[in-house]
Amino acid sequence: MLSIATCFKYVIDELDIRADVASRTLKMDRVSRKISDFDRNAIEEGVIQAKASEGKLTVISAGNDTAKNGFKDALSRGGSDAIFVCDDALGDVSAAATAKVLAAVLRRGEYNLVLCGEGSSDMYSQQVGPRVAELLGYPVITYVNNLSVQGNQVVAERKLEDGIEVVSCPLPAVVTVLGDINKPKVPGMKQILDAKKKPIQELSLADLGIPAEEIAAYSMERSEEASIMDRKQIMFDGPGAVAELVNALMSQGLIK
Amino acid sequence: MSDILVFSEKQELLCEMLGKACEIALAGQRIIAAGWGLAADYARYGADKAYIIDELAEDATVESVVPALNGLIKRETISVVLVGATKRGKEISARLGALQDALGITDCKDIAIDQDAVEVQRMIYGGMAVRRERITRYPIIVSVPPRTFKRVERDKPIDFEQLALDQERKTKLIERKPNQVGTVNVEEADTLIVVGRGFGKEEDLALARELAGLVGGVLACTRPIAEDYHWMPEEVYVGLTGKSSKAKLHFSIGTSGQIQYVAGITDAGAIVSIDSNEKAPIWSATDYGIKGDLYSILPALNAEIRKAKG
Repeated sequence: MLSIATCFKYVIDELDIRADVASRTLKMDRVSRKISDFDRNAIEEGVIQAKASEGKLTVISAGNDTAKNGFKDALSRGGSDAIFVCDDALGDVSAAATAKVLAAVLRRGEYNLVLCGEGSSDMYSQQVGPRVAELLGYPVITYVNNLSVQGNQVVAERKLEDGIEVVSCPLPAVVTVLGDINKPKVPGMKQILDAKKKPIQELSLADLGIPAEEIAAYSMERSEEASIMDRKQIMFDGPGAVAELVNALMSQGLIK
Repeated sequence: MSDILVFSEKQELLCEMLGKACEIALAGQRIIAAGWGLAADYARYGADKAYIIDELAEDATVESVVPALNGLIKRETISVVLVGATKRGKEISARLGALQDALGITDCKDIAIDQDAVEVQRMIYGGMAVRRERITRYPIIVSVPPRTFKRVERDKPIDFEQLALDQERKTKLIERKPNQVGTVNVEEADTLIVVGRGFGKEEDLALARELAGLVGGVLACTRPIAEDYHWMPEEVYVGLTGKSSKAKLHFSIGTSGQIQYVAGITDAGAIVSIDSNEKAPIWSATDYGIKGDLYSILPALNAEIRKAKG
């Protein structure tokens, strides 16, 4: 009977972001938000493992007021209850700060298994899961696309650059999951309605004993600029297009 | 500003980071390598000192090196830690970040050091934007992808020490199943041909395969071709969460240019694109392009190259 927690991030949908090429600024006025892609897999994996062990799943997230909307979706995907650390100081903070907050929440429960996505779709730092594990003193297994809990052991397959690595560690543990670990079910009407009845516990940084200054100490001076591809954009058209292209490539020694 | 520690389980990547470290180090800042292999190699490429790590036990993962590296950060006075951004390296750098209560930057594209701060640059929002951060909290842990920087011969005198590993560990390596022999390394290809969803059937990839044969290139694909259609293995998809192209000549065929794909081709030399969509985002990521039907353009291209080669 596992007690499972999945941590998720409610992010800006990067596909909605527009770039103003001239000023190289990002336009965020029309953005929608979503649960980060691989976090959906982490929630689904929590559902699968909870079912397999007749245990339960809690979904957890930290952010400012905007993040509240993520819980409808998270709870309709699974989990019996949720914990939301809500604080103005938690908008767009670094992985170091997020991990500290999540570890503080997780310490209050007695979770055997903590699941995270391998990285969030907005920042893709791929840090929060391993940081949380280290702060809790739990072993962590990252980049997992196959997970099984056998008694008191996690056995997982990691997909790495050179192939698959099969590892095991004792519970309690943290696991970060890849997009191909499972196929998240799309919540149906019943799941969406049931989600409304599930309790969401709201905590502030003060409730966790974390002073706002501690979070602020993780911030860095930053600036952002839309990526501009500085490419030649030489187009060939008409009947001679292919010949001209090959000519151009050969004259530069790109094709020999 | 104290010293710079450079770690990777990949020796080539470690040497690339040593190259950059030497370039940016402030006067008096030592560069310390930690890795497997030979101290002489690290000295050759710029390390003032090398810690050569003990051989891993059969059931130890690479990540079991974390406590030893953490101890090293404490013993030496380290302000900047550079870790090779393989997947294993990213886990290692995150865990060191937590142990050191330090900020961490992942997949850094560039890094600079001045008296007051370390400045790093990386991509965010799926490749849509570049973020620059100035960090004044030390140490700072930065992970660096392969082939971001270049190794440079500096020929420093050899100074090294063994670094022992903790035998106590909770995670055990059970088995490794390496990728099949003959798996191509997309990131090392000088010429790359990427196929996208403009191709209607798996059999049609033969046209691209023919091009690859003619130009001595490696065939790769966009993420949907691998993960949704399963026409090619996942090891060869190019994009933000996949492989990066560092090819001198990069063909992008039937790819519309989704931002997550484009994020994987920013370091390519010359990008040649063929697509039927007039308004596709790929054009702004193109050096040489032909708009039109790949089913007529690609055979014509193959024929033209065959003719040009004589």
